[in-house]
Amino acid sequence: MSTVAPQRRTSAIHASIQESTAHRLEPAIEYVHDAIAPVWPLRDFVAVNPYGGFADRKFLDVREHIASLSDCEMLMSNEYYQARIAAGKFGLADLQLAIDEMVADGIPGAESLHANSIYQLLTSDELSETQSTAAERLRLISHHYDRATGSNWATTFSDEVSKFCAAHYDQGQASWASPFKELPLYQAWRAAAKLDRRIEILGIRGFRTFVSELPEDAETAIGELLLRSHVPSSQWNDYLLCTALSLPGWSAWTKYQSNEAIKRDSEHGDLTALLAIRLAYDVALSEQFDFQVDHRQPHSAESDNAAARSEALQRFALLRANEIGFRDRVLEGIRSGLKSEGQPEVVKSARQLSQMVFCIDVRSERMRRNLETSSGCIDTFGFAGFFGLPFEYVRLGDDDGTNQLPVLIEPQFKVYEDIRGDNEGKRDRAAGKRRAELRGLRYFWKSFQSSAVSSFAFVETTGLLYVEKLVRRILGYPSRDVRLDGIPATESPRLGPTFRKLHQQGISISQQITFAESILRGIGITDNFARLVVLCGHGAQTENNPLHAGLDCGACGGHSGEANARFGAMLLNAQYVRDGLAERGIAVPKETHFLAATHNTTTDAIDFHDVDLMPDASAGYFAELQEHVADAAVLTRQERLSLLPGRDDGSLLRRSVDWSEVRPEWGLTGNAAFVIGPRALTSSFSLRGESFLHSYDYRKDPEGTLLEQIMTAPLVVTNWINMQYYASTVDQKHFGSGKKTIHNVVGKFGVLSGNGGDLTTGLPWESIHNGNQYQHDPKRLLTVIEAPRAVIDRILNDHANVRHLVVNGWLNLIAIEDDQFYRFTECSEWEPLETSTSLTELQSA
Amino acid sequence: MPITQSLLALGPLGALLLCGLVPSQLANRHVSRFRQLVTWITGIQCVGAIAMLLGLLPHLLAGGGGRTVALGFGIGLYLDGVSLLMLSLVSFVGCVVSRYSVRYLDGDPNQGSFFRWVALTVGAVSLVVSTGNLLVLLAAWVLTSFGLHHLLVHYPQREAAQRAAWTKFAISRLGDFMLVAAIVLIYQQFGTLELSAIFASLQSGTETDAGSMAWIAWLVVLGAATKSAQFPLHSWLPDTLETPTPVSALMHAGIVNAGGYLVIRLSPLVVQAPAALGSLAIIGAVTVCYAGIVMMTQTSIKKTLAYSTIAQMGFMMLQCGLGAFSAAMLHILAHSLYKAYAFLNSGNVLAEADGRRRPSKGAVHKLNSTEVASGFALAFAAVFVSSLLLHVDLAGKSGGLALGFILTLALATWLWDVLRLESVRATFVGLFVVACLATLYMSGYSLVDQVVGGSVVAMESTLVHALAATVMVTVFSVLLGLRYVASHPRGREFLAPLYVHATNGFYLEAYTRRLLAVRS
Repeated sequence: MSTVAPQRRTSAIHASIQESTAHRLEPAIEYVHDAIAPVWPLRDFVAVNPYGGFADRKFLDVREHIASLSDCEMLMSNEYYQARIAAGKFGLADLQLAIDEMVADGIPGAESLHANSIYQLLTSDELSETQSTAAERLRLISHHYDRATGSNWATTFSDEVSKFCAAHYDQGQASWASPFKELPLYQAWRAAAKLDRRIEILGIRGFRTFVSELPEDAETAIGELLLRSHVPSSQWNDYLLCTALSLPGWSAWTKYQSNEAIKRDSEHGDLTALLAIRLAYDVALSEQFDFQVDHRQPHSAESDNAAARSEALQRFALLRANEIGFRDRVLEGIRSGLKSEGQPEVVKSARQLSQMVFCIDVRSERMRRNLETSSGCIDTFGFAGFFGLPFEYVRLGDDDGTNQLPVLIEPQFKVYEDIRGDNEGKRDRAAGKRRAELRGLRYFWKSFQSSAVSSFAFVETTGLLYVEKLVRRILGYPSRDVRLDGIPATESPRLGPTFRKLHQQGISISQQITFAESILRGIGITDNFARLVVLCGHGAQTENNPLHAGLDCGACGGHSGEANARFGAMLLNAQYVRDGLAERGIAVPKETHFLAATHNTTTDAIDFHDVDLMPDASAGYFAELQEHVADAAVLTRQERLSLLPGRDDGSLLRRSVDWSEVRPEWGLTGNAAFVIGPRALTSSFSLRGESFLHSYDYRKDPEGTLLEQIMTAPLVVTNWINMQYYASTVDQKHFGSGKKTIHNVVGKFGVLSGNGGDLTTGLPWESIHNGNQYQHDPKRLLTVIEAPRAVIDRILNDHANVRHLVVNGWLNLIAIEDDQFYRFTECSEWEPLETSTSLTELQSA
Repeated sequence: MPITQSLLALGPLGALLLCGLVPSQLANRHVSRFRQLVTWITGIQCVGAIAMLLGLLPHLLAGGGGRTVALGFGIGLYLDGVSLLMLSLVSFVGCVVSRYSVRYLDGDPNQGSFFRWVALTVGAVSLVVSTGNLLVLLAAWVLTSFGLHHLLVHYPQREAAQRAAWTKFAISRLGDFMLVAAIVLIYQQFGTLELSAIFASLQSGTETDAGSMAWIAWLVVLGAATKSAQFPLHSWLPDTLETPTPVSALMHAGIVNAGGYLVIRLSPLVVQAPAALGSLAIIGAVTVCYAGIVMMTQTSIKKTLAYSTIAQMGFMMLQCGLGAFSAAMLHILAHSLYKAYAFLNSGNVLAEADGRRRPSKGAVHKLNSTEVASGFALAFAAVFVSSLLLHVDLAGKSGGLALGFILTLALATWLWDVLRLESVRATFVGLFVVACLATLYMSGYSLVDQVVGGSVVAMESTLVHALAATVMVTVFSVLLGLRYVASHPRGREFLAPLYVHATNGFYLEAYTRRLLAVRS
């Protein structure tokens, strides 16, 4: 690093930004916007692929790029794979195959890898990491300064930015809100920073003047600050990305804000503002201490680069070998399923008690398998848990609702909650009024509790009563369920979604029939209906858990799927819908009843809804179904007990009500595969809750329309989930959210770790690690589709975003055609695939 | 007091201190048994302390003073209303925190070590509140700080955790120094460090040197202020969020109030110097004002709770300073229980917010002056009537009128809010709540007063106290004003500079960092 003579800001700089650099600035900012993935607020916390913005580039290239700009990591360590080999998860043959496939994928340098030497290295005791040191990377000025002087400015600046952002986006934690909230982020920051003395006290004199002399708008400021940082314009893209990645959490949050603003057609410069703010601190530091960095210096020597690249290549091979170990097991199971497939199912269907439709979620797999084994008369299906019903659910007494659909799409209508009954409107008004009063009183009670004037009286009058609360919670009583506020206990089972105001929103009868039809066709139930067809959504039950939404249904936008299942069942039971369906060629028998249920993924109980609407004739079948469901729940919990240590059934149930529980359930931990095809493919073996399952029959879909829907929506969502778990595991520090024990909910929208620092985005440590070892083994999603390759090719060609995921190595794609497996290479070719048994045969031959 | 009963207290206490001696590695290796052990011991100590309190209750209600249980070597326990209430509280909080941490830190490779330091800390605080010897108290006082320090750096690799722990360490040593000096002076004056002997000699009117007594009072008061996070030595407290939530609960509910305990415990000594107490009241009032304002601007749940604790400790010190020791005792108990719950439940902040809704514009109206006046009058009536019914003589107690005013003002703000709702039912609920709260306060106060009345000393009102009461009323008027100004956009605009400074805690943290030469 060389220090050049300090150069004070001149008015000429202003002019030069306007003229010569504007055309370079805009693309650089755009570049950062494209690269950063958003994060959703806690209430709607859904999985996001943090690498989503880089999907149009190759996995290894992205890793190298990110590593040159930040401390972020995208691969597990050699030690990790050493332990996997020791545990027998994969072996030399898998490693050899991984390298062969890398060569077939055209990954540069793959030919030079030697399976034997890597394997020997890992199985020997001496294992040395050739980590490229931080000195070789592009870094912010404050990072350079800290390294040179041993100071801590970079952390201080993160805390500062965090302080301003938290105040700006606060959704009601502070009773005294920021006076600058109405301003855009950059302007709000400027207004506050002009008054804030903290940085000056800590040693940067004149910081307030510095801030007040900055340009009025964020984009101009970035241009000026880049010049004052002496970053050559050729480096702007990278330098701005480096700036964003120094605060991955707030970058993701401002990206979310930008996206939301675009939807509202308003100002969307929040991420731009964040860049300007962060740059400003660095420039102030550099000018205060006359410290400058020559960013033009090459980040690292070519030889170091080569060493780092070959090291990364080796770890990538290990990742792939580990994936192959898993792939072999899954394909083995499917192969045995293929043999049994094609047997006549009609006979079986005739004695069907129930068809149960679950979300594609990995947690459904266990339940489905146990339902099938505990009863021979239940068929199960997998479908996106919002059941194709894209609505916003407005709770009784509320104006706004929750989006009950994947975040990829926008809601098309609102469904209103109500107490179903004879005189709906009247009840609704009374209950709604009670609810509003109750919540209004609680609102004022909260202000009595927390205001500076009354909090002392609050404590002295009610404090002693907290003995009772503490004892109750310690004994495992859950907190109050506010969803039932103002609803008499007798009426609570009838509180749910209704058809109210559908017509006013333009959802005509024929449109409702279309929704119903697409549900049935999507699932693949168009004939041979069972007596009871169950739409089963899912939700988690946890206490004292700000990250609860992450355990709920991702397809329902991070909420429970109950409303969707109930609305769907109501729709499918309505006579006018059934008549309409008959006209469109789907004859639902009179005796078939659609039933809504919710799978509680924490306790594995399945609750049925609106049972009172069921015709009497079905009651006997329902009783039988309930027995099977109870049996399956016990089996599923037993299976999970091996993963969540505890003595018995009760210890698992307790996790759902214990306020001190940090691992209520494993959620989607372990997810690694997505099978798109009939259940027969996978029903003969256990996928151990590691696979998403989507029902699909290519025979009923010659055009590939349904497959196109699956590959463009559920596949993308599962890739997001898979990559979020992947990133949170390989780089907990930047893409995870750290230890839950020091989580601190900020502004009612996010989580900070400890005193401050960056906003956290991903999964907490406790969700991927059980204390002794990683619970989540990071693997890229193994996607298995039973469909003609030509159809898949057509879909990949039409949808660049999906094709990028496959050809750039963000997921693994396998097609099954004529009972043969084919791997889609990164060179877009189908390569016939042998599973390990046939491979062993080959080798022995 | 029978020796069996005191064993009930001492057994678990000793066991906790012994648990603190278990090497961390051993504790980590046998964590599932060790964590159960510590939880059980705290539970037994809690039951024992409550049993002793109940056993001694008739004696205490009859106005009896403390009883000493000698343990040999001139060391003993001093058991009275104050110590037994505190011991019950500390054990209960310790038990809740231990039970919570069993699951919360499950899988943490250092969970055993965590429980070791929890045991030591809880044991040390228990000793602080129950010992009858000032030297033992000093030792336990330092031991508490030592145990807490280990809990604060439970994640040693976190730099901010280290920084906060060491800041706290420095401030604690300052407090220790004052306490040591006070104890030396006490020994010079009384020739003993046994509490019972000191109190007896004060009661019998033994000649004491007024100058020394004033020094003792000042040292105790200032030492207590350092322990209880009083302005301007509070800045470590909001920065201790780098440690697991149960440690925050333990610290905010069981440790930070030790300063208040010290003043109440030594009230017979400190009342000898009204100026010192008066200053404590002013320190407390300033802390209330400071932390109350800062709290309003904090954006994260735990920071809000931390500043709320500082404000509450300020209020407690204010009560001590006004000589309202029984009220301060009630405050310590009530605040601890509330704050332990609030911290442990802090992950529920979103779920709880779902149960609240700011009433829509149409559902509320602007208050007219009649409603403002009647709200205040009704709150006043509730306080007045309940004090009459429960025989609490507000005017006759030290600081009683001022504290009664604060209660009335708080209840009035609640009524002003509720009266804005366009609903008869809500008004009734609001009035009912006011009646309940006033009754709860008066009954809680009179109960605590009767239990600790024999241990604390009433104080003559002085000029300093008139001043302190004035400061206090001013502070609360300012806070009330701010509450309304800050709820309007134009008010917020006007107060923008104050807001920015308040978000930074008025830079006390930054100055402390610079002072302690922690590099930025």
